[in-house]
Amino acid sequence: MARPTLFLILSLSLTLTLAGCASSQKQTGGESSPVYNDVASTSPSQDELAAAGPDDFEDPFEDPFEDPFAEEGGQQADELASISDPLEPVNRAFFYVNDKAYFYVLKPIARGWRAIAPEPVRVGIGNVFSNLMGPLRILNAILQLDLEGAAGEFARFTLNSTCGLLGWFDLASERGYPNDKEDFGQTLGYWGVGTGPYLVLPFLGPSTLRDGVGMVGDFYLDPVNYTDDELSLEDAAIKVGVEAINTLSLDKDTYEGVIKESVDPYLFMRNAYLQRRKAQVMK
Amino acid sequence: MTLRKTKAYPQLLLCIFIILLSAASSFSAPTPTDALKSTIDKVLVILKDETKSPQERKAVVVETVRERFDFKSMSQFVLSKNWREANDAQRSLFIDKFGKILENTYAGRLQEYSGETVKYLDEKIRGDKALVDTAVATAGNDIPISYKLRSEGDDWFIYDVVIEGISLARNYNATYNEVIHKEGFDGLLKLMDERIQNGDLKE
Repeated sequence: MARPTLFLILSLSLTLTLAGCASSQKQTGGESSPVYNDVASTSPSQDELAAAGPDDFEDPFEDPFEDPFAEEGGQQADELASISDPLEPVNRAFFYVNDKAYFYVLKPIARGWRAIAPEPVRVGIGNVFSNLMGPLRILNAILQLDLEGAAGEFARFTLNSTCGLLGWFDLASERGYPNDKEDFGQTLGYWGVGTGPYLVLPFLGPSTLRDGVGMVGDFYLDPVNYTDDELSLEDAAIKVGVEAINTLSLDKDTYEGVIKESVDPYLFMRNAYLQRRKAQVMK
Repeated sequence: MTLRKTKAYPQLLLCIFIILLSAASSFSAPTPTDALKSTIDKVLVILKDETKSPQERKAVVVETVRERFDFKSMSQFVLSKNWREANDAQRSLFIDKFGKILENTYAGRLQEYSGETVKYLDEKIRGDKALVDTAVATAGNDIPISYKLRSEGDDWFIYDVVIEGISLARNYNATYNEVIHKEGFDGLLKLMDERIQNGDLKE
């Protein structure tokens, strides 16, 4: 009796809370890594259009070879056209749904979780989740021919899995092996696959066609999805929900504080997502 | 004896010269990192000051941060083509409102400050612009934040902040220009007014 009820409540709330990803995509909690030396990672250059920049104000860190006298470019019109969002009406609808789910379901649970679990516990749980994706990051670093990154992720995974007690303590970050957050979407981007149209997935939040395809690969390599010995969507849903709640409990209201304040939260989120993914691919 | 003295003399002079030189250089123009750090240090001191009320802290922080920002460059960057097409009145209205929006959006968030530290990682200068990479160490992780600054006189002022690869100016650029595209410049100004009123109401 107790178990089915618990499960029902859990699965119900978790399915709804998947929406958390709508915001956790751009949350600061969970797994974030400092960018130590690569300017390109914070200021990707010209090629991709999603975050193509202003054409008037010369910004040497976006495009060092920009011609400062190329004043009257039609770049702005291009920029608007180049953000591929043919599904905007549908996306906006899902954005609305995710937004409501965030405020009325996910956020209250995250607040409750924050109230009962001390911060080190929540950080530890986030670290364990992140550590489980270590092999996936190693593989993706290799697929991007980044052997140094793969070695770093390998060192990170071994150290945190052993001395870090199955990833609970992130000892590796302190020792100069930051989490590079590689995934299949970035690997596709590395090999020149364009983002494709922008998508807002119900409960999973902002994505693109490319990153959506990448998520399928990530899903197959996530050990948590094999908890019952075989690949299960149910496990995946629960994991995403739990992780979202935990991540949000560590976040300081970024979504309501920043994104909701924007003149158009949908556009704000779309641009932020595309910029961030572009920066991650360029890294 | 006298011989040794004369020998030592030029060295002494050189020594004094070097000391003077280094003293002089410490008075010269700050590097972009110096400029940024001085503002961030001031802000952190204010945020830790328990003798002030949150409102007082916020007011002083806003004042301090405003001094380090170049809202005009930022507005120009954000509006890009629409900046050229706007008239002077629209431009100054925009600069004003944009500053207010940034203030409403971000100053309130500083109340969330809970002892995070800032690491200064790298600095690059190209022409009159500079990029300073920092990381904010929080409980869970490090958040990479880069600041883009522009030199004016012999000081540096921020025109963009890049958080985890997301440039604020670019984000506003994309959002605002699309709004202008759909609703015109005055439509944007109106929307900004609504945002500002919302933000003021919350306080």
